[in-house]
This record gives sequence, C-alpha cells and structure tokens, in this order.
Amino acid sequence: MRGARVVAKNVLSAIDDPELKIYAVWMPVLAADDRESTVEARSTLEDSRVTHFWDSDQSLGRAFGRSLELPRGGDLAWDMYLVFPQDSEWGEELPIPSHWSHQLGLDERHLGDGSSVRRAIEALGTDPGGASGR
Amino acid sequence: MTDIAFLVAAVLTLGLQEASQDSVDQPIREVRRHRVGVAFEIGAVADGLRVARVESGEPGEQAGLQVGDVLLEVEGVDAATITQETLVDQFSRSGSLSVRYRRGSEVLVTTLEPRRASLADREVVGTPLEPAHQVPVFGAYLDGQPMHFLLHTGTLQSSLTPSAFERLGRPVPPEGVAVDLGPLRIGHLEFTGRRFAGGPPAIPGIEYDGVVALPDLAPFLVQIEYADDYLLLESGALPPADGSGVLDYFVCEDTGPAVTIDIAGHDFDVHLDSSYRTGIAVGEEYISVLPTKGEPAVMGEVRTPDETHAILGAELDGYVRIGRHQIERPGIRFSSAFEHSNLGPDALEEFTVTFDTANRRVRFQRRTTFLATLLQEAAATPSLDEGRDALRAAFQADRGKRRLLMLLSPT
Repeated sequence: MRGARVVAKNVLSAIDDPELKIYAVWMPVLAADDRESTVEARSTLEDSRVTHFWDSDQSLGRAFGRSLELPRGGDLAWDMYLVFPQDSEWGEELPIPSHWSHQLGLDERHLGDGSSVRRAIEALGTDPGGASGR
Repeated sequence: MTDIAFLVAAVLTLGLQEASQDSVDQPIREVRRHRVGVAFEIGAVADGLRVARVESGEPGEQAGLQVGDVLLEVEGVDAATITQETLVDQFSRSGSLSVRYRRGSEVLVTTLEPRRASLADREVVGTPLEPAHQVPVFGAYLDGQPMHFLLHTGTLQSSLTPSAFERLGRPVPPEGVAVDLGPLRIGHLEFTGRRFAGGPPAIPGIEYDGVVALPDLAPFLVQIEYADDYLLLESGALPPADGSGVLDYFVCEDTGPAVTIDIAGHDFDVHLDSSYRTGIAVGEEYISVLPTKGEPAVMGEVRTPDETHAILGAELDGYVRIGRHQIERPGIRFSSAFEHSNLGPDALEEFTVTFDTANRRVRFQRRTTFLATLLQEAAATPSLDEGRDALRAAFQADRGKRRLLMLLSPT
C-alpha cells in the first residue's frame, strides 16, 4: 500500500493529464493481504484514470518479473512501477517499459520513488507519438 | 487486553515420536517492549530463519521483508545459530537493526526499526501446525511438559493418551471423568482449569499426546490456516454472520460446530470436525442423491467390533458452496459408518477457518481468491478486472497514451 500512496502523491496529484492511463495490478504477496486491506488500498487510488486488476495467482507479477530479468534471481515483480510510452504495444510478448523502478532491495539501478516515476512519465511528453521504449 | 510484541514461531520439525523439550519449546516468543511484526520458522532451512509471516504496516514489512525470505544475520549474529533468547532480545529493543537476508539466491541487506508495542495491539499467539499430518497438530505445554496436541473441533472434551498421563505422573481417570492436570500453555497464553479425560480416539498414522477441544481455547478466536499450516489464537470477535464469509454454527450433542452448506444443490448440515481427514463425508444413502463422475469406488473401510463398513469415493459432479465460497468438483466420500456429514481438512486446504466459540460463529476465507470475490461483489467500488487478458486488452485499447503499470500488494 505504501506504493499506492507514493503514486497517489507523486503521479495522480502531480500530473493532471486526463489521457494518462494507470493500471493497478493487485496481488497477494504479504500474509496480511486480506479483503479489508485491498479495499483500503484501492481507495488510495481513487482516480478515473486508474483501472484495477487482480492477479490472484501472481502470474502477471511473475511474467513481468521474468520479462524484466530481475537481478539476483528475483522472479516476482511487485511494489514495482513500469512506464510505457505512447507507441508501446502488447503483442505476443509483454511490452517493454521505457522506465521501471521498485522500492525493494533488488538493485540500486532501478531503485526509485514516486518522483522518479513522475519524471519518467513527464519525459514522454504528451504527444501521442512520443518516445518509444522499444 | 495486553499489548503484544513480535512473534517468533518455531516450526516443530521433529517427528512426533522424537518429541523433546526442544521441539516444543517456546512455539511463540513474545516481548512486550518493541515489535517488528515478523514471525520466523526455525529449522525450516539450514542457513537461517525463514520468514513465515509479515504483519501489515509493521517494521518488518516496511523493511521490505517478504514471506519466504531467509534471515541470515541480525546485527552480525548468524541467524542459523542464534538462540531464540538472543533473537527476541535483539528485536525487542529500540533503535535500528542491520539485517542480512536471502531472497531466493540473492542476499540483501535491510534495516529493521522495531516499534514500541502499543496497547492497541491485539493479544495474539500463533504457532505452526505440523503439515505432514493433514490435521491440525501443534506443540504446547501441559503442566510444564512439552506435548503435541490435535486441535479437535469435533469434540467438546479435551483428552490425553494413557502414556501422556503417565508422563505427568497421573493416573488415567475412569471413563466419563475429566481431571484438571495443570495449566495448558500455548506460546505465552496460559489456560487454567481445563479438564482432560482419558484416551482420545486414535487416528491412524498420527501420534499425539492428546486433543484439545475448541471450547477449551475460549475466549480466543481460533484460526486454523490450513493453507499455511498455521494456528492463530487472538482476542476479539467475528462480525455477525452474513451468510457469506461468516456463518452461525450450531452444536449437536457432544460434538463440535456444524453449519449448513450446499452440496450440489442440496442443503447438508455438516460438522466441521478437524480430526476427519476425509474432506467431504456423507452417509452412504446419499450415493443416489448426489451426482458423481462415475460410480463411487471403494477407497477404504471402517471396522467396528461388529462389522466392516466400506468407504466409497468419487468426484462430485457439481459444486460445494460454503457461504459465498464455491468448491468445484471436490472429492466426496460415502459410508454407512459416517454418523454425520462432515467437512474436513482435505476440503479446506485452501482455506483459513476461524472459530468464535463465544458467539458460535465461523468464518471461511479462501487464501487466494477471496479478495477477487469480494471485490467483484462490491458494485460501489471501481470494477476489478481479472488477469492478464483484461490488462492486455486495456493496454492495447489505450495505445497512443502514456501508461503506468503498477504491480502492488494491498498491504
């Protein structure tokens, strides 16, 4: 939930582009991931630009974990933020982000916070033909 | 209500026949000054302490620890050889702690900052169940003696084996008589005035020193986490029955809780007897009532002094509905030996079941899908789409726009 608050503060409040799309994929990771906590967590991202998804078996989290080639054998991507440019497509393979960051102890290169996510989004500009990450 | 500190759970890794003081000793350690909100399994891995639970919002979670991580060092002390006393002492003090841990093959470092326990913390104790037994067996002390008990939700009377009475230096009481043998201690919780009868029923393949009946753990909520092999006792009460996740239960004669469930469209009053390893068990007369995939086949037998009863098994060609939870095509057993219908651990292996004996309520929570179920029902909240296809469709539909994907845990 800390991640959701970070994004609410640094992205939802700071970027008022109605065309920005945000996908919140929730997955059970911690022992305390129960119904109350999910309802509460979702409420921190109350914004019409946000669509919520439920990854009940962590398959999405693990697919992105493999796709990003997480360091040190990590295979589950969670507490992670992936920024995709305007022309990014999801075909047979998972799309590759122009920026990704996390708040876990994976590696320093991708260690990020809300500000870095915001900057990565802003760097794409608002042109529909903006920079490609792929 | 007293405050709690962090929990250290010791997995009982020794076989029951090898039970010793060490194997049962201190299944929970509890410190009241500071807490980190993490429970560790001792003995699960050779090189440290495996994280078994991470409490939401607590320092362990804030430090990034996850279930499955292996603690390697605390302030430079090797976690594989650290004593529980040292560990408790380290985690119960104030200030930052340098912690080295392993996640898969990578070794990471983080800083834990134990927080001062508050009176708002619930009184809670947790202890691992022994997963090999399929029924809830846990370690505890009776009158200072380490013992293994079956948490028996199908009886109202706790009891001990003759050999356990012998270890306590006490004679086995006559049939129908139960005696107070001293305090029963589970973690830091001590139960006094509990009475034990002689000779618990034998369960083939399982050895234990006795059974503890559900009412003897009152006034605590008793939470059996079948999916995680964990037993949690905590203060509080379940919310009123809603027919969905929380159900009222009733008690029949001298047995434990029973609820009404739907088996393939038929209402059945089923007992929630944790000692019945068989998942869903009903009388033989229901063979002609309930649809099965194929003819039920002989799976075993029950012998009584007078006769032998066959146990027939098949896959139910339908569902079982427990409140809002639905189990598709579970295995089902039929026998004329079954005195009542039962919903046992085999059918609940994905569930956490919480008993509130004070209010006669029981809550069923499915480990991985209950969130989605709830949220799909919550029409007032934004829609929640399931899975990869929905995300991919949304992603493609939003082509031409900047997109941020977040992978999050709700706590």
